[in-house]
Amino acid sequence: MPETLRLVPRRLAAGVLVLWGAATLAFLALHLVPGDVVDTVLGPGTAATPALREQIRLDYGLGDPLAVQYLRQLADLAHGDLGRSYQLGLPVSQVLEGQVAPTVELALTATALALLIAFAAAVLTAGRGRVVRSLASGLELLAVSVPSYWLGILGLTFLSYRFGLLPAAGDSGPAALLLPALTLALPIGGVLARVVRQELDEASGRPFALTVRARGGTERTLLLRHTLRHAALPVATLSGWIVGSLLGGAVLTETVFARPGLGRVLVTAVTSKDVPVVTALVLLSAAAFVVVNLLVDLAYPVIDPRLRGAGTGVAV
Amino acid sequence: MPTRRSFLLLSAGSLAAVGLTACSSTSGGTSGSGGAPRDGGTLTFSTDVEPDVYDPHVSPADIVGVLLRNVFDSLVAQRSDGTFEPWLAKEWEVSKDGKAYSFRLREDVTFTDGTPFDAEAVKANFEHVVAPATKSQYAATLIGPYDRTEVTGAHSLTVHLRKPYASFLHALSTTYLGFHSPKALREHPGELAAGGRYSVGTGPFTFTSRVKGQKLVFTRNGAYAWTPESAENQGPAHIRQLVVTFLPENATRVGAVTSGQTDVADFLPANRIATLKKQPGLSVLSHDSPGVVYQYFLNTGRAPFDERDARLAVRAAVDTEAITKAVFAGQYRRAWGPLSPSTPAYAKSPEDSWSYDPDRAGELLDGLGWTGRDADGYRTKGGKRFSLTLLYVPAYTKAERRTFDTAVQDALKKVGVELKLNPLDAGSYTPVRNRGEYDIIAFAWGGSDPDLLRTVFHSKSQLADGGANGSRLHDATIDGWLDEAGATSDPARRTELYGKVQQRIVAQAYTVPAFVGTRQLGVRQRAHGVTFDASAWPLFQGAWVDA
Repeated sequence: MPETLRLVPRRLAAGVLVLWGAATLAFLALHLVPGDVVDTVLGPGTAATPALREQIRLDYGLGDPLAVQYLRQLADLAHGDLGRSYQLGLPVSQVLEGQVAPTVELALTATALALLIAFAAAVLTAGRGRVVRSLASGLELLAVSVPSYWLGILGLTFLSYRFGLLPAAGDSGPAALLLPALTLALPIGGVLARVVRQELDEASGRPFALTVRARGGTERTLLLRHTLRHAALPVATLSGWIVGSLLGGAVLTETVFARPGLGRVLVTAVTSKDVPVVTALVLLSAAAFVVVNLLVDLAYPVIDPRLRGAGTGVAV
Repeated sequence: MPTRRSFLLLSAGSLAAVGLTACSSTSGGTSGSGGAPRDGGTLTFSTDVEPDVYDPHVSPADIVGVLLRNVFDSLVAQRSDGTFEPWLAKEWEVSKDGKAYSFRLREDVTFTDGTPFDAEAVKANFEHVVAPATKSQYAATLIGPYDRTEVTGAHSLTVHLRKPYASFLHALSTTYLGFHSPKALREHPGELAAGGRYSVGTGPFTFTSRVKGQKLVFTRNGAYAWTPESAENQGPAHIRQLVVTFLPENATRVGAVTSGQTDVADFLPANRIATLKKQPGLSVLSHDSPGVVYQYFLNTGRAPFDERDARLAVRAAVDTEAITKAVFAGQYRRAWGPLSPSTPAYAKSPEDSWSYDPDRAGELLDGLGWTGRDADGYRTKGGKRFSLTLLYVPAYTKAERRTFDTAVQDALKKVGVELKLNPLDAGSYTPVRNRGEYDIIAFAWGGSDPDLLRTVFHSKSQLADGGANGSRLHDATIDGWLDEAGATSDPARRTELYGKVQQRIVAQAYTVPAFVGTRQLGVRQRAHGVTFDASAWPLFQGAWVDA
């Protein structure tokens, strides 16, 4: 698929622009909201002397005009220097080190679980009677609507404290990953299941389904080789939304389950206006979006043969 | 689906504890007896929020003082009665003018990296505290009018102050003026904030590892032989390891201790105490936190609280006792004055000196001319509503305090006074507060030194100048007493003066005292010997666990 591959450098160039935009927006958002960065860094509870404020302003270059600060930050970022956290007094790279892996681990497990839940639910209920489908649809709606931190606390209360089946908190191996990943996966799985089922129902009424049936193919063959493929397409399209949900959900899940990770770092950094850390996290998530979208674009022709060799490829 | 807003709300609850400053404490209280101490094993302690910075010279956070007490020792120790005893300093002497403190240090103390503890180490640490580049948010204030350290021998030194400072020994007794190994100061000045192996002290434990956002591991220092005399365990720690985990959600933390996944849980929520006390295999340890209690500081710098009757009226309108009982499920006591009863020099006389009396509040307000009523039932004078503003920062305000504030709002409404609770983010709050554009702010300030009264009520401790004078007080009488108390080294005279200050604050109704904070720990049956220090902070040096 050389046509498809040809778009990689172009997309990567666009990705750099996205990153630049993200860094700029983060910078503006943090500096334009009212309030002095020094005050936010110190928080309301410290009795800071004017001398201490001055020292902080000086050390982090907060006294310079915004344009100077912005250009300095861009220059540092271009050199791969993420700066030093205002709040933690450490290089940002050191702050994030060790936090990326647990979040990625959680996100990947949650994605796998969400896909499993979605496809299992959809396959088991598609084309069934109204009662089964309404029931499934109701459960999905519930999974989507229930706040995930509440779900997490409920899971902890029963599975961990009451019956002692799973460890409660921390990052101590696969068993400790299951509950948080499930908490994160359920709402996403709920949405995907609805999408997949609808697609399955629609696809099974299309002419190609009739052809397969006429050829003597079983319903199983129809499902596995044909309609599921159709259903995979909208799921791929939703992957940007999934990444967003995972990042947002990680914040809550990591807090409830006391897992290390980027979500918890982000909450503290945003609350304390820790500009360098927030910028680094915004860049990281923007990069994740760029990469995921690129991978999805590359995956479209694999999922849907109609998209192969369509010249510029990737139309969706 | 979690929205951005829902996670920020959640974070507000969980972060509330971390921001507010320093210390809290009382005395006495040990977890379960249970026979002779046993050596070995691991004790797990779960608290709520991980500190940002692990350098006690920089951080103002209470939790840093608690956790790093295991790693850093002090020159002197504060006993539970508020007096001081030798620790790393064998003896000390204060000059007649109160401006020079001479110490003779123990000679057998070494840092866990092998560096000997000596006068040069003390000097290097004090210089690190006051260096502008350290950007100390608390220790530099605590060390007060520090001028310089004069090394007079390998193990003797004199600290010179610019003026007398009676709280100097208390300051020295805190973790915030503990001692890093000079080698760490020299080799890793940029990494002291990271904790873990960079935190090297002389304490009963070494800081073995830190997994960010998750847990800390402290390992027993087998060579430890320099506890203060009053410590029950006169030697190395019993437990081999102390593991600290961070569980920000109350439900998670309580669940962890009830199910035995942790041995000691910090900050039990008040509404769960009654149930937890009945739980088999679990005991609840509590300790009143000393210091300035949670109270409403009335801005005396502008109308209406520049008039005493207005302050008295508002105080009489609030049923502190009933609100405290309701908000904290009967677990906390109401406060009578600016200080917590467990603070040294606490004055008993304000107790029962004022009471909830809405009728009297009404009379006082009538007397001030607030006799009209508007459509909403609020009092007016000359067509203007009696309306007050309370500033707060949601991200740093615990849920129960917000509930308390709302109850005060209701109480004031009953006497026709409007209280607007005005939420601001930290960055907008500070300048507005520093300019005095509020009627009320509310906070607590922990610490086991009555000189906190200076930080909170002296006219020179205005918020904009790095103090915490929430009432924007300029009371020459109080200033005079505080100045004298700060300069005198006679303990009886100090107690008397601080007592007068407390009485006057209550008589003038500069604040509306709310409740006495209490630190409550849930302790599993297998854990013993966890004690509280003078600040109501849990200590682990004497703790042991069943096999």
